[in-house]
Amino acid sequence: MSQKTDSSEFAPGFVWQICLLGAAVLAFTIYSSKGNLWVASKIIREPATALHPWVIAGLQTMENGLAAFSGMPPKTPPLVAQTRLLAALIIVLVISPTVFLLGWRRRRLNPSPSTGELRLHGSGVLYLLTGVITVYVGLSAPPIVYFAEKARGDLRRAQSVQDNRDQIITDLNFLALDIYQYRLLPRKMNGGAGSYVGYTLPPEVSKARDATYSAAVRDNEVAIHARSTIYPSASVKVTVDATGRLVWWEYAGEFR
Amino acid sequence: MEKDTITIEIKQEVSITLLWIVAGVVFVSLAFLLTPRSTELWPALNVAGIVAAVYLITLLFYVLRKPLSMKLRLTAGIVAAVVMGCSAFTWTRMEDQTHWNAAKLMEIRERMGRGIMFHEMPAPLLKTLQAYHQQGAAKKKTLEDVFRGFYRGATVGSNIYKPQWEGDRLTIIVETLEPDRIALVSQETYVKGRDPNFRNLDGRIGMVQEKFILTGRGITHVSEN
Repeated sequence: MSQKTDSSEFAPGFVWQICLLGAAVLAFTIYSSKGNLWVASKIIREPATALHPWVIAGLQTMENGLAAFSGMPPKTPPLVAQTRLLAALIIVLVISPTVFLLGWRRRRLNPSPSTGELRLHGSGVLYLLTGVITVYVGLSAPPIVYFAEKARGDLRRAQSVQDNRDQIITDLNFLALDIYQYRLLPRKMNGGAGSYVGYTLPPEVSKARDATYSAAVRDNEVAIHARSTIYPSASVKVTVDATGRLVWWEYAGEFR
Repeated sequence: MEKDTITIEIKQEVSITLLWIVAGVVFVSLAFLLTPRSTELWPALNVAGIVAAVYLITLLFYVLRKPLSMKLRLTAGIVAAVVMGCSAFTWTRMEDQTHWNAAKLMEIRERMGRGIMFHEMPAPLLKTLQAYHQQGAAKKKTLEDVFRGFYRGATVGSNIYKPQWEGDRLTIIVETLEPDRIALVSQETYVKGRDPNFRNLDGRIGMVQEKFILTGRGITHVSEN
């Protein structure tokens, strides 16, 4: 009663079906990661993410985002993506933890007799396989949280810097328009009549949120210096030439 | 006799394992498949994930019941809670992050579109302004005349922009063409602007639209949407 043998714990058909399924998943994962098995890569496109269903859903969201970027309407996820997601959910959150945890409990309560030899029977292989998946998912969870949060923070900060830089570039384009108009307008319309001399930055520029602007005016060019108010070490220098074009862009600090 | 008992017990264990698996697969699959389809996988995944979490918690209570020692049950319970907490956190953060990324892509697209408009739209007006004021104080030509000189055949509603490359969809439409006032309008065809109810020049609703107006005193810019 208390002495059980591993060899007869499960019905042979059940054991081999599960083992074959597990072996197939592992084989597809290994082969598709090397990109040399077309069928495998169709089933597990990103092997590293196959055990994290939320990554599959994230990829679909990104595909929709890219479609929207190109003016295409979002598509309903293909059946293969839905099947892949459901399969990942079932393997990772149902089959693996169930077989592993119930097997773990059984082994805790009824340890196999120590015979000194390695006994690799069907249930042992299954227990090992589901254990690997469950432990992998379990152990990888905390590091994934750490690295994902770090990547998220880095990405958001990089995007924030880029937003600031883009806004300053937009402001500089409008400043260039204002500066060149000054050159084109006659003096009686408060223009420079063919020169930049006398130009001053418009008052609304001093209220800009993203940067503080200063200008060095010469007859045929105006050098503008924009210093970010959000990232004080970041700045942009550019010159408006005699034809109104922005030339000699220089980025400093985090804008580089 | 003992062999028979073992066989019965093993069959019971297999049955219990299979019962758990079948129940889990059925509940998770039903939750996934019965969630209304959308263009995203998240709704179905989230509902199925909640069902899977309930299933896992129930399974944990079942697995960690007596006669396992209290210390072992507590340790395993804490480890399971940490793993499930981390997974749930990663899951929700991934959903948030990918939506943020997708939204950011459209923000970038909007910024690119406006940037191209800001680059291309003032040029015809600056050229007109320059030629207009080069006439000196006694002007014989109006702004409209000068503009028509550069863009022959331009009328209200016509597109004066020549595509720079294959697939260049930018248009710069003459909205107003009067002797002392010219207005150019450019809009996006699929990039949403600030006001979702804004009516665009071509009849679309809510798209980005920029306007530049030229008078004898210079150019003014109006970001319409």
